[in-house]
Formats: sequence, structure tokens, C-alpha cells
Amino acid sequence: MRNILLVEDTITDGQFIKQTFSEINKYVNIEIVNNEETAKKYLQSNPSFQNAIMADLIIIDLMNSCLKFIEFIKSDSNLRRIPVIILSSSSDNEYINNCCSLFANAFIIKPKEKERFIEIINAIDNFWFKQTRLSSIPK
Amino acid sequence: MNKDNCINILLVEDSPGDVELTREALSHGNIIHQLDVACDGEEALSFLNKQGKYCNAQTPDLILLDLNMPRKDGLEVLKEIRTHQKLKSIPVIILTTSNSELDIFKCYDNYANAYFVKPVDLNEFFDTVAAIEDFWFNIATLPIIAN
Repeated sequence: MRNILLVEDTITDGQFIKQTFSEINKYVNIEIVNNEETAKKYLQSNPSFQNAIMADLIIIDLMNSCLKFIEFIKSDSNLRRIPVIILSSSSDNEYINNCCSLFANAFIIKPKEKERFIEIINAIDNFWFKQTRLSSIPK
Repeated sequence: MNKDNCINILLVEDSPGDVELTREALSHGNIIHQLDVACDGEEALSFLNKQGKYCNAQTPDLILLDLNMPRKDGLEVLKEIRTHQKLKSIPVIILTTSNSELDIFKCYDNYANAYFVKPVDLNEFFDTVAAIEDFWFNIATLPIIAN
């Protein structure tokens, strides 16, 4: 099973992402939380148990800036190994650069068209779960 | 990324055979790109810092980095990039023969964007490069780094 933590403040988008993943990869389990605080609690829920990797991949899709949250993940010695993908309606270069400077693993501009959104979800699945070696998943 | 939409890729790889394979695999995609090659870690850092013969080098949009190389290995290069004020946001993809869990941990700990074990099978290798091209150039948006 691959576990995605999706930090999503738009209910319909969360449902859409979950539904699309379930159609393309039945081995993906998605946990949706709607804000950073709940996400932090989720990620830290069992820190004493070393093998308890809470997520193989984190996708952040929030309306407001998520720079502080990226910094939180990427400065934590256990959590920083988890790839973080930013989905954002912002195409502001400075914001993209800031996310990448804090070591977000990828920045994706959120599309308005459904077809493009499906294409993106397929590419995330192919790239991160079929091609890349993740630190959490020994082969 | 350049104004003319040409993507600059820096491949850091000491095996000439793998350089040619990667070059060929990239050319199968429909991405207009320029591929620069550094054959070890020292050369990669000279290129990135525009030293000596690299004074006119183009800052890459994406780096494909091998791990086991003479003079300076890939992990050292990664660490230097990630602590460099200007270069630290460049996506770095590890493309290596190493299957070691320790290497995978160390690379993600030092903020590699993604880690790939080079497939031995030629078609699988082409699939890997195609997935990298598709994800980084069709799906993701790259940070813009001043040259």
C-alpha cells in the first residue's frame, strides 16, 4: 500500500483526487486533512515507533501560503525524507522559488480543466509510485 | 528556464556509455533541451559555479546526478548545491546504479528531489527517462533561477 497524506482545504478537490487515484491505482490509500495543524498531528502521531512512516508522499493543496508547513516537514529529521508535492493555483515565480528553496520536492500549478487534473494525478502516480525509489518503500 | 523555452539539463555522470544512453533517451521525448555533461563531482561544481572554462555556462533547470563518481561523489555535490544560496532550489534527480537503502536515505535527507535506480534493461531505462521528462517538464513547474 502507498499512503498519501493530502492536505486539502477544498472538499470537492479532495474527493476528486481520491476518486481519481482509486481508479488508476488500487494500492493507494489517501488520508485527507484540511489544515496544517491536523497534518502535523497526523505526521507526529507515532514518532516513538521508528518504522511508523505515516505517509509515503505528502500533497499540499491549500489556498494560503504553505511555506511554514514545508519548512516544518523539511527541517524534521524523520519527516524530511517524505516527498512533498505542492499543488497550487498560484503561478507566482517568487512563491514557486520560495517553495523550492525550502526543498518542496515538486511544484505543480493546479489546473482548472478536469482532463489536465486527471493527467497530473496519473503523472504523480507514475512518477512517484511506479518509477521513483522512495525512502519509505524498500523494493 | 530560458526565454526561448529551451530547458537546460546538466547530467553529472562518469560513464560515457550511460551519458550516451541518457542523451538518446532524452532525445526521444518532445522537450526542446540542451544537455550539458560533467563527468565527475568536481567538474559539476565548476560548471555550476561558472569557474574557468565554464564562465559562460548556463545555470541548469534540472540536474541528473549520479552517485558513485571519482574525485567528488554525487552526495557531496548534492550537499553543496543544497547549501548554495542561489543554486539550492534547482531540482536534483539522483540517477544511480546504487540500490542501497542507506544511499536512498542519505539523498532524501539532503533534499534530493527524487531517487532512481538505473534500470539495467534498456526499455526500462528509456521509460525512466521518459517519466522524468514528463513529470518535470509537462507536469511540474520549475523554479526560475537567475543565470
